Amino acid sequence: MTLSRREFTALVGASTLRLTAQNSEGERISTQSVRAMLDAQGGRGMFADSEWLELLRHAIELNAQTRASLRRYSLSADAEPTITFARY
Amino acid sequence: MQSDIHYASIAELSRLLESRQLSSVELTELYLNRVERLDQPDFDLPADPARSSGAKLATVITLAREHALEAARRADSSERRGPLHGLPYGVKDLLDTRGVRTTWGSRIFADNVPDRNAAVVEKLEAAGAVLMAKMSMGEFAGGNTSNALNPWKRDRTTFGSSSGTAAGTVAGFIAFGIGSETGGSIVYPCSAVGATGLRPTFGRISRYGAMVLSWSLDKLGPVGRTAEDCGLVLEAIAGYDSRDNATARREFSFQREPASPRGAKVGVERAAFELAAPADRRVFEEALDVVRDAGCELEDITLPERPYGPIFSELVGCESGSFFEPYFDNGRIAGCFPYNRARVASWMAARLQPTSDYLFAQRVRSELIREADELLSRYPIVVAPTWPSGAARREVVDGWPVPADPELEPGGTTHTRLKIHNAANVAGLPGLSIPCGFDEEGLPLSIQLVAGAWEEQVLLDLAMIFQRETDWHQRRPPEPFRA
Repeated sequence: MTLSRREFTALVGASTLRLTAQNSEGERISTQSVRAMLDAQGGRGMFADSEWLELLRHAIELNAQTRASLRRYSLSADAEPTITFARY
Repeated sequence: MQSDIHYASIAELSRLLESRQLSSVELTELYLNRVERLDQPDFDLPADPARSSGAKLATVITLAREHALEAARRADSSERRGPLHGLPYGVKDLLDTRGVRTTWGSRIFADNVPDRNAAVVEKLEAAGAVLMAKMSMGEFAGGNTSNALNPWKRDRTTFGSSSGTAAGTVAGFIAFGIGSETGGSIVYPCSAVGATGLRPTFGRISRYGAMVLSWSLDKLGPVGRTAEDCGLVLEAIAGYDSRDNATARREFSFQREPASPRGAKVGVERAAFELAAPADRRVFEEALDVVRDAGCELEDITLPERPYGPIFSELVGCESGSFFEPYFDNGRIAGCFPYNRARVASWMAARLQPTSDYLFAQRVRSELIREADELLSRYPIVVAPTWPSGAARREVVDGWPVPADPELEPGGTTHTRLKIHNAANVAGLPGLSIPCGFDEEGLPLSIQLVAGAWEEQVLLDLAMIFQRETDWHQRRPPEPFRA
């Protein structure tokens, strides 16, 4: 499948939204959603294998929970990420 | 020649070599023979550890016999370059070594022979030290999944992931070692086996030529039998390197005579001590008595709840996912050991999700760094158990060694409750683990001292004084290594 940059962005965005929506509603993230994300980012590779795909699906669920718990941290608007480029 | 010379400190070995009572070739042969006799199973490592290793410890993945003897001969015939000159050492097998295979603890890379040396290996070569062994590690520096057995009791884990480096040092297989730590991988295995290990300030030591788990969290550091050993090695390997963006333009000059800590305020992370069982707590309290008797003023401190676990997951997931991208692309990473599959999948999961979450984690981290710096400006040292119990039982599941009870091991909930340890790793602060006694089963216990950025000497001073007053670091595992 060949995608333009605009199509690629739209597809990734849609997949992420779908995952987020599924997860926030406590739903099991579907393997179709995971496949869509993999396809949008260049192919399934080793995750074409059903065992690896299930491991990835489960990891995405756990990851989404971890990220949600991190997002509950009350962050100052002034906080910069620890990735500032500097010359010293 | 002393019969237990393999347990001598760097200072003792260095004196013997300098006075020519011992040559580097003799010392190297002594260690090589000892490793071949007591460490190497009769199959190639890294391997499926379900296979019996007999009574061998398997702390060494690759023993570089010819390479080491050649380096030792060079050391014997050249001018002395310092205290490490002629001393055989081992490095965690995630550091590139020219002509000596580097496996990252994985059978996927069992045949990988780099054509370059990691910066640390370059520096040790320049100091005249003799690279002798590549030490066992959890696959891709993944916690406690190493082949290495615990020299104090072979049915116990060595924690992880610098397992072989710590266990091999304590077993008298190498004069010193180099480990790496992202979230605990130097100090935890040192605690499990009773080694002395230093996690330096982030940016103190170049990581050029090392496998990456997290560019923003990885640190390399020395493992020795004494705090002085760690100081001597740190001096040799510290410093700026244009090939590692994180390194600072700071040298480290080790002061072997410790400054008195009299009057220094030491924060005691009381909640971490309370994680220990009563008998172990008594051991830790006695260690605090030694620190108090050295003249320090101890004060209990309470650290706030912070999302250290999610930050680590996010940073390590995204950064490992990026570093290992080529191995996802070519599918090679699918050949990892079964126990590691879920972890590998989590890196891919992190790659698939929004970058804004990674940035959010790095923003939270900035606040936690400020908080940790502020704490360490009030307390030059904070102390806690490195780990609140002795090494846990090990079992083999799906052909891979795993903790029998993961909650008792790094990665479990106990880890998240060691707040100063997690704060220090997130903030890139130095920590030094020193043995402080034994539990009721004869397994080592250790305390970790944490200081502000670039204050390794402060840690080493207190640790050297501690080790003058105690002999825990000089205790040796009984041979043959007990089951």
